[in-house]
Amino acid sequence: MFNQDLIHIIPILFLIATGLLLMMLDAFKVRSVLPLIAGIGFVGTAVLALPLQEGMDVQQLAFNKMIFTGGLASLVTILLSVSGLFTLFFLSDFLKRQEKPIYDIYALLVFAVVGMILLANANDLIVTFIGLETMSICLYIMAALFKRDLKSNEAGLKYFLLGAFATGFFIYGIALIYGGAGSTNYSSMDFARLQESGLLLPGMGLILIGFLFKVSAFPFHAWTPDVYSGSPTPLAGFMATGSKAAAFIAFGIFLNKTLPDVVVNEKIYNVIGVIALLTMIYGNVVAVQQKSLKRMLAYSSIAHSGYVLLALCAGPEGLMAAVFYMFIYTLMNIGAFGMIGMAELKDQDADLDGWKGLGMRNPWFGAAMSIFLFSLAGIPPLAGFMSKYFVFISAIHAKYTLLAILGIITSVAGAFYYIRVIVSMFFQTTEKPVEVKTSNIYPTIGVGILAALLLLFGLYPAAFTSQLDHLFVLADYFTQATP
Amino acid sequence: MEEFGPIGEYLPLIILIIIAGAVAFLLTGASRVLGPLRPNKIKESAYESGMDPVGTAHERFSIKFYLVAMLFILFDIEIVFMYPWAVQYKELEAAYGSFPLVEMLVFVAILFVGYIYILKKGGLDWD
Repeated sequence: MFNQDLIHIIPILFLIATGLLLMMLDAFKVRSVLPLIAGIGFVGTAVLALPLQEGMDVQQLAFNKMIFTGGLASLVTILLSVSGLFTLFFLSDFLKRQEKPIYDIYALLVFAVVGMILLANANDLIVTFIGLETMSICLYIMAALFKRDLKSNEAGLKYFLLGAFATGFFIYGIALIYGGAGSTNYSSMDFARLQESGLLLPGMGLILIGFLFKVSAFPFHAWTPDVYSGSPTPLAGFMATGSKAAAFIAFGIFLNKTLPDVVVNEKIYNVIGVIALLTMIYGNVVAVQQKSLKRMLAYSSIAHSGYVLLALCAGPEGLMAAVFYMFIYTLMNIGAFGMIGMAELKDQDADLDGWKGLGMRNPWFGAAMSIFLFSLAGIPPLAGFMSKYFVFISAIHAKYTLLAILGIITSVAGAFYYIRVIVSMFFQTTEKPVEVKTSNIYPTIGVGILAALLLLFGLYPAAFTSQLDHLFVLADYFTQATP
Repeated sequence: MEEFGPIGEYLPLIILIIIAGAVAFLLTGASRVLGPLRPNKIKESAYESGMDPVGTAHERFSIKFYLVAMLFILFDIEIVFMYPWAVQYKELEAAYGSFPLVEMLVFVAILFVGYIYILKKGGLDWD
């Protein structure tokens, strides 16, 4: 029984072992191999999560029904490992150019991904909480990584204080749900009792606040721009993708596990739908006014949270759309943040002014950045279009037609600020231009792979989505998992 | 214990409190009567070899106190996890063989990695 459980979580165990090894190598000053080892760790985790073994392609529960393994859980594990892996491509070069010799970050990155995997694969609110905290504590340290830099300090402190506060809401919500349902496990919650007790709405509301904070949805978004612009740029990309993906998937599982059995679900979905709409409008409108590229992308990530929240209103089909969206979003946003980091000088903020004419001076750089930005704007034939399509179609299937139409309109308005960067890069000039001077080849390789993947998934989405359908059908999250 | 009424269940606890109090009085009293008394200013202070508790609270003191306190709490809490394991060990061994022992060894090994890390990173150096 124990051994079977351990076999199920081999990907997580492998990643934890990698993290411990990284800590030891750093302590004994064997530092040149750290990025390589971390990369092997992420690739190994993704490979181990592939459904190679018999029966691993079906969603199962392990450890007394506490965590999901196989099926969709494997897919999510791969998604999060990929987000860690591509961050790695940009990280070592960025730290070298900023003259900040920090080596603990590789172990931190690995442990953050461990927390994300636990968070996204949890079938128990306590495991969700442990995953959330493991992830968040690593992210707080990442935000404050440059400890002599005031902006980085500010980012870390703001993120930590607000995050700790949101965690308080979250754990109090868990306590109320536990009081009503008699269990923290989705498989053994007594929903009838929860409904009678009157603790359902307060508990649900508090847990919702915790999740909405983590995904930076509209009324709880205020930390996002400051934290992302103060954090080291590649790590800001990691925060915007990996941590949001994990939080969204945990959120989706929570909604799909608890709401079908309770009567008030219509109300809660409407609330989330309205929050999604406000998030989309706010993110897209405020992003237009930003001069700093990092702040612009931070507001754009708020807008993208709105799209995914809209998908989460659409039940199981929406969860699939959300997972697909987060996968594509991870690829394009890590690429965009990474490229901003590539053009960032020491002690200087990435400003739109400096980027004028960059595409003419460095055509390959301009072309790759244009791919990421067009994809973020959701312009076909890039993958960003496919992911938006799935989100809006799932919302329409769930009879949220009006929200979907308004969402599409905000998305069109949002295309403006992405395209403005492209226009600046190719059609304008400036006196103080920035230069791209990478210290090694890895960022270029990372950008190449990411841009190629976005083109591939945009041009031949069937190659990917048929596999995804296959996995999802086998996974059948909501029937298989409850024996 | 029912013959002692509703309080009966707490009787052992009350006896324990009385004995514990008596032992404490006995020991401190004995050291006062039997031990040599050579007081000086530092010995008389509330926290011997600690900080002076009287005075302004807005005093600067080394941030290293926090680091040491944090590391202490960390390892202290981790060790607490061993108590329930040790109490349950016989039943665990009967049910799962040597697996619980290996499990705890892995836990201690992970703690040890953390210990080596802070040692090598200079977390325990005062200067």
